[in-house]
Amino acid sequence: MKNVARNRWKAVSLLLVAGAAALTVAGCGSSSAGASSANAASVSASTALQTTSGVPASGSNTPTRGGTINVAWEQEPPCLYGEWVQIGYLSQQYLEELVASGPKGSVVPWLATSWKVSNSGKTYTFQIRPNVKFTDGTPLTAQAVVDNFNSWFTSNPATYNGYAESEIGDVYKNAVATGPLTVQVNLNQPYYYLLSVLSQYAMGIQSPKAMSRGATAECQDPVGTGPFTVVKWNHGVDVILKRNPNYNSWPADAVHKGPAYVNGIVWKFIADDTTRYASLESGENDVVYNVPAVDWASAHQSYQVLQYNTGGNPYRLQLATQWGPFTSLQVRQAFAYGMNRPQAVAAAYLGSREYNGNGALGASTPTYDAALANNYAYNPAEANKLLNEAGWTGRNAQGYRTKDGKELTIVLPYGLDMNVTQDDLSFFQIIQQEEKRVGFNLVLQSVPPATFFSSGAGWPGIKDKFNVLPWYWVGRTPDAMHVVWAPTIQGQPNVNNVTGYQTPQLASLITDLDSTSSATLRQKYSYEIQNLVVKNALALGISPLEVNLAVTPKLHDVWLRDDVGEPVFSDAYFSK
Amino acid sequence: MRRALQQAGWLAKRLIGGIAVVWATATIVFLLQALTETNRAKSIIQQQSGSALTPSKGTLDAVNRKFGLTESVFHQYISYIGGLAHGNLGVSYFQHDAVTSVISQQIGPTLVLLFVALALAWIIAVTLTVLAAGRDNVFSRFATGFQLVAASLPTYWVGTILLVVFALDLGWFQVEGASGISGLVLPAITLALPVAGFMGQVIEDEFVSVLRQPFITSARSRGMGDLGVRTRHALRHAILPALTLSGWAVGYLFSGAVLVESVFARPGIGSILVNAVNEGDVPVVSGIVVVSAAIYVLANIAVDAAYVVVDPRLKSR
Repeated sequence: MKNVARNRWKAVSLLLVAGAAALTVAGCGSSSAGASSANAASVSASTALQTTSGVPASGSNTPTRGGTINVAWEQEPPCLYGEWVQIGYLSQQYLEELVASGPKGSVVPWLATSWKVSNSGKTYTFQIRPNVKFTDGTPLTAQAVVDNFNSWFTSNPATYNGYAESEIGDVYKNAVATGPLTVQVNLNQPYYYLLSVLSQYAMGIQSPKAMSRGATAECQDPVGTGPFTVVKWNHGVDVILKRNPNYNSWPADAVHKGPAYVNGIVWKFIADDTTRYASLESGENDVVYNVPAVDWASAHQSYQVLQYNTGGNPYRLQLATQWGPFTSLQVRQAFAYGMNRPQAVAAAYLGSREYNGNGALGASTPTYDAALANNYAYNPAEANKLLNEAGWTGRNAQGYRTKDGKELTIVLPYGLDMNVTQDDLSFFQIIQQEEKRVGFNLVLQSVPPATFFSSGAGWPGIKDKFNVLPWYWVGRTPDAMHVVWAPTIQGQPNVNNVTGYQTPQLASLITDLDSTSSATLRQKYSYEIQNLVVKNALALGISPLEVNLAVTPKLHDVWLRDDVGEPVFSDAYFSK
Repeated sequence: MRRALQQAGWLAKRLIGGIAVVWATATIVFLLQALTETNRAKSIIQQQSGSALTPSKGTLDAVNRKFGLTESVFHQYISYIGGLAHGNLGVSYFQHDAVTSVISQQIGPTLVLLFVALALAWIIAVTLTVLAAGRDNVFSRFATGFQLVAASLPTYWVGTILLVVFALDLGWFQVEGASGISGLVLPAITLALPVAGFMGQVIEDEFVSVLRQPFITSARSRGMGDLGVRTRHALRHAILPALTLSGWAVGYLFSGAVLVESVFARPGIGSILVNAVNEGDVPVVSGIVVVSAAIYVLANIAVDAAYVVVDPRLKSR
């Protein structure tokens, strides 16, 4: 999202077909349509995933060839291949996955035309699309796909795929080419979400020949099968992409079947909000990412505005329960009652984001519990009462509450352009004023992004030194909660759970949610987890994570993929 | 011949002093990063993978080996300084490229911006002084006021205002990343204004006191016109302190360029430095610090050499 959030990761997504049907999904357009409608029944989402507003595209609706799309993005990634979502938006222009994430949590064929899951749920067999070549001329074969799997699960830092390791490292056994175009992926135990994981942007298939060039080339110029190829990366400035004229491996949900209409993309990095948006107004760019809140209304008067409300764990305040004042449930709840979150969201984001009060799950996620949307409505009287009960009865000269001479200080560290944008900072400043009235000294503490990233619970940078951590973890389905609330990941304590809260009840609910194939039970377990998170005031929701783009009206058919909202430019064309 | 030898000796001395400054800078930068306790291999992998999970031992070992992170601090220091002596600044943790190549690819536009801004600051400061100093009229009061305001303007703010007014509203210039002269105008003005303000104040003080000197009176009594007196006699004296200030200005402009490049989305070393600091890309950060120290040293040597040209009396010393 705008948030430069580094961790804007897509957690697991998935949602194949309900029940036993999930075990054998024939990959073709019509069956995936069936899957979608089956899913729709179990989706209780109240927020549209993807919306297009503003002015409509102008001019002729007949696609024309030619032109270059100038895109202004905010963050420059360290490498053109990798797992950070900010890499994903870009790398989806040249790398493609075995399966594509389709609408409503389904998957549709992409580099694999069909697949079969064994009855044991431990063997997935993929048929690879014939006659596809990587843009360096290497043919796409079963062995090429196997080489990619092998490169992910290796200790070679050039190709090691941390996303693959954290998602399926626990269950992955091996990948074998059983025919020229047949790949068998073997698991140690059944894993319901494998197809969903393979549809993620971090699982793009690269040319084995190109990968053998080593880390430098890998970073500068990854080679895939996609509609565009990397021409040059001008560090600090832009990445030049050109059309792949031989493109023939579009996913089943592509708007048009064929190579891209445009000649290429210039993908620029403009970190400054004012400059980035101004470059659209001056006509220098056709697409800008992350419209600043102050320009949100005017963007709707002149441009197409594309929005994607990502599901999973929303942007929220996570409270540290293992140290400091928030060890007390009453103090956590008082903090929640002490701020007017919906109003602060409206004031800080000026309509560019929706309020997501349920801090456990994004409103667009299936099994989201809408009954929790208005939890902890603003109630300073209740906050004062709870703080008095918790013994924070004194007041110091500044008006902050004290207990045994200690001030009620709450530290919120943030990395600007990391997990926090300028607009998010406005939100924190608003609640800072509100919390002061009930006696909290909310300290906003800027932390260098590098420290911030390798920090968190049990993380060296700021362990014990924070009480609130704003963060999110993107996903499309309730299993995104697994990433945050599972007690361990690959045998290690789960550092994604910065609240430190863990009970046997929560642990078993997470396991139950992961393993059941019953949609009804999934809904039940998901509701119970959400209630537990909210009742214990562990995560106070702010808004769903969002991708937004303002697009010039001349450019038709730009859309955002139902994965984490990656923009698709291979279907786009300029009107005459 | 003797003078040439003297000059060579002077230059050698200055260069040796400059090398000492760069070496000291490199040492301080090295010590600062060596004293931080971060597990660097872990941080590199976590950032690249975007995951807070602890990487496997095999992956950590591979990264440690690649960047020599488990060597002793002393050993790391020796190889760092040794590399520096051979023009090798190490390898970027994230760009997988030699730091020297990362910097050399990006430093061109920054240097161009820096020296154009410096020249512009000189032109503004000298013009205002010659036309206004020592006079008491509306223009001179305006000039003094302008210098005061310009010297205290925050670069970031000036840049944004210029961008909105001249690029967005009036459409005279491109908003972002324009190459060539048109892309240089607004960033150079943004950077030049505060320096012009400082320099103008310094030149003006000196200029006014020179105007009261007897040789000025004698020049006037020979019938020399006012403009002639100001440009040929007074200015030569008055710019000496501004020359000194230019050495400082190079440092100021270098750091200001980081902000200006971000506002105008210009290519250059600024965005590389900001990214490298954010990511904890130590070799790139220290490389840029060392290179900018070297530029600062060279600029000051050039300033000292320029003294002699402006003030021939210094030649005999």
